[in-house]
Amino acid sequence: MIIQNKNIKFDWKVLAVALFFMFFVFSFNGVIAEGSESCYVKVNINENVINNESIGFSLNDISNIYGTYSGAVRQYSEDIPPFAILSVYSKTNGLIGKYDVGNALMFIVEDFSDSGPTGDLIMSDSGVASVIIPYGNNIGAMKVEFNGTETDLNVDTSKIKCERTCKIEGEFGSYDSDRCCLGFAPLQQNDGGFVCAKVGDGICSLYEDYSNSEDCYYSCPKEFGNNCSVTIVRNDTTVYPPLTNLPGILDIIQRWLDNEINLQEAVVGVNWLSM
Amino acid sequence: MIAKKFIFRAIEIRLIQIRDCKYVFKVAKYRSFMKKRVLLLVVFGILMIVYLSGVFAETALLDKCTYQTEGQKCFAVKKDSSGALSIFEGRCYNDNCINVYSSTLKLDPDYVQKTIKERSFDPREQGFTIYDDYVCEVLVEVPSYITISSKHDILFESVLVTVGRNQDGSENEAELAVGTSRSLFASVSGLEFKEFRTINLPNGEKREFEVFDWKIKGWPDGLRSYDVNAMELAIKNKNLRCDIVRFQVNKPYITFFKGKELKTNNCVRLEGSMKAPTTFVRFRMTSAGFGIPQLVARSKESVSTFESIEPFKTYKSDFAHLIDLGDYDDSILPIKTDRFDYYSNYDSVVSILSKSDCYLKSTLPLSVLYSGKTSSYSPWNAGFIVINSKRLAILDVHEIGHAFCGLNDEYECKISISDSFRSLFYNLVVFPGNLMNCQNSPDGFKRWFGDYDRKLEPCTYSSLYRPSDNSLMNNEGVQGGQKFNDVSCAYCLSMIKASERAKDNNIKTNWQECMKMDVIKPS
Repeated sequence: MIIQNKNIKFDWKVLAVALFFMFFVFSFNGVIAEGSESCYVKVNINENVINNESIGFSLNDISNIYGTYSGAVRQYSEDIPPFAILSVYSKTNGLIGKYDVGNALMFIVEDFSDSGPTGDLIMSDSGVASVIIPYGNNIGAMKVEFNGTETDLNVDTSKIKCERTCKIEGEFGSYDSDRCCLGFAPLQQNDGGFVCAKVGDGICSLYEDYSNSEDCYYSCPKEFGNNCSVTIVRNDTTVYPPLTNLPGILDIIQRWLDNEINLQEAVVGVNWLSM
Repeated sequence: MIAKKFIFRAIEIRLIQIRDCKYVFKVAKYRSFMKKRVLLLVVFGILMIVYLSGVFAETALLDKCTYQTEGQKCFAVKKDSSGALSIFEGRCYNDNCINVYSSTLKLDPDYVQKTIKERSFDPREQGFTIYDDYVCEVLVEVPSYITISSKHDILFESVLVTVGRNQDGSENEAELAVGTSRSLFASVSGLEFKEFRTINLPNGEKREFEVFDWKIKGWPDGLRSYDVNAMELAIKNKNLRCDIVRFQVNKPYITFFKGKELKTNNCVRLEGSMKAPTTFVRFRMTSAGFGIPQLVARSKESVSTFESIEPFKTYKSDFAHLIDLGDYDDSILPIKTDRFDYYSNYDSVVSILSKSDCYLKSTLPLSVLYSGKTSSYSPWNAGFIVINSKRLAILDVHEIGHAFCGLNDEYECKISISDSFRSLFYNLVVFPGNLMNCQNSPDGFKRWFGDYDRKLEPCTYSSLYRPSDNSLMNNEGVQGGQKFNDVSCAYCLSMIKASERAKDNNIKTNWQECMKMDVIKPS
């Protein structure tokens, strides 16, 4: 009696087509899925009080960032007037978007006690405001609008690039400076660093082994206790004979297939059988 | 099968014969050697015997382990899962010949599934911390006379340690948990037989081992949370290791097998998806005087308070909460002492926070710093707030109201602005309407927030109006009410939905949504 069919075939062609399709869709409508990692631009803007009469704005620095920053993008809204507005223009001078620029000159210090709250609103003469905007390959200029005056930040837009900074499957990193992208786990390596891999997807990939991933060994499904066997069906229709009561089954399959063909491509299904 | 058994039996007998005859043969050889030499060579001969005996003792494999042979090399016959016999080399451990091949720490699979379900993230992606549940998985070969049914009776003693390195290269171990495979203590669990597993060895050999698991609890209170010093060392060392040891009475334990060192980090994800748009990271400055358990307890209280207040309660899945377990020395930060005390240099605060493990794991966190030497305060747009460590957790949410929602205090503040700035400040900052929940006219609220009479002064300034008598942005709210009013809720909701503002997010619809929530509503 076949109880469970665990399909672990990996079709790279289908994946490539799917990735191309996703890239195609995103690049045309500019949609960034909520919570996914994407490219953004972090703009640090100097705010300075000038002669006690006005506030001046200038570019502090600009950096390309990559991650889940969608929640940090503060799109301008008329009903919530910001301190200042960052307008982003295309290379043909069309408006791409408007974003809030926060007030980096003030802060509130306070204390609460039974006798009532006391607080100070303190203003300094300079500060740096950070604004996160979505990446675009057509950004031509950035200007800050404050009190009816627009100041060009003179951004060198050639420095704006979309670069993935986290690591994906099979890429190595250092614990001190790198991280795996969402969906990948850092697997410790003997040199003290890590390699990123998808763990828990049922595929024992190149850098996973029995010591760091449950994908590299299979036990009988819990409902069978220790009494089960397995039949391996390959896509060349080869059917391997049932194995009896061998919890380290994937290692054994790998051993069979060593020097033959990659396990991920070879195995169509693993059928657990009750004994 | 009979032939196979015969071969193994023959090997076994031969090894025993070699062991028994070895010394007899060697001693005879040297006795004959001495007869042929002068007296001067006797001493040399004795030395040779001692030396060679030592070599033999080292290379000799014992077939029986006793208390006296603890740690010495031995051999034994094992039976694998298919019933086949083979010989393995091991070391005497607790009267048995045991070969420990590896000792590896892994996240407990049950903990992984529970965390995904209850705390909305996969701890395998987050990396290892001292607040996770582990399995110490030990791969061993044991003699065939130990049957599966008696495997729980093998007395494995194990410790979870963190390892510090001295300048001379020596190691310092601090113990974080203790386990035994026999129930010496009801409260201590230890290694238990789990299954057989075949491993590809680096030399190409395939060998079957028996897997023993030791489950170690870390969540929710941390590994051995009662030992504060050991936990602090684990934070400093950033590693864990599971060793097989022998305990001794009134003496330090002897390490029999050192496990594989696991690198850990100091960023504990209390809850919240790695895809959450906003991440809070809670820090302890040295001046707060928090140990790790106090930091975690205070942070948990802060999170539960935050999640009990609308609109954060409804939208709690939009937030993730992390704790940096490190101890951040704020004695190096300059303090401005005035009516209130605060860190006067933001850049230096941001600089020391940037070294946090949590900053690698969250894209743009809002940091909550617990300090013992400053007042509570919220710099606008600085990415952090500071909370006096003696204050209640509700104050965290008040300051988050400033830093995340952009709200202002609904009581009268002292304006610490020089006279020369005052005119600029009022003209450019106050009057254009940037004060959100404070309005310069009672009618200012009516545009978005219903036709209610809101004539309550002050609101940060004496001439500004607040939406309600009490709220979380006022003293009464902090002391007892613990709710935002409808207007503040609407602004917070706008920030939660900030990236959607261009679509369907506007302040009026957010206010209408807030009016259905548990907030202070206009009378």
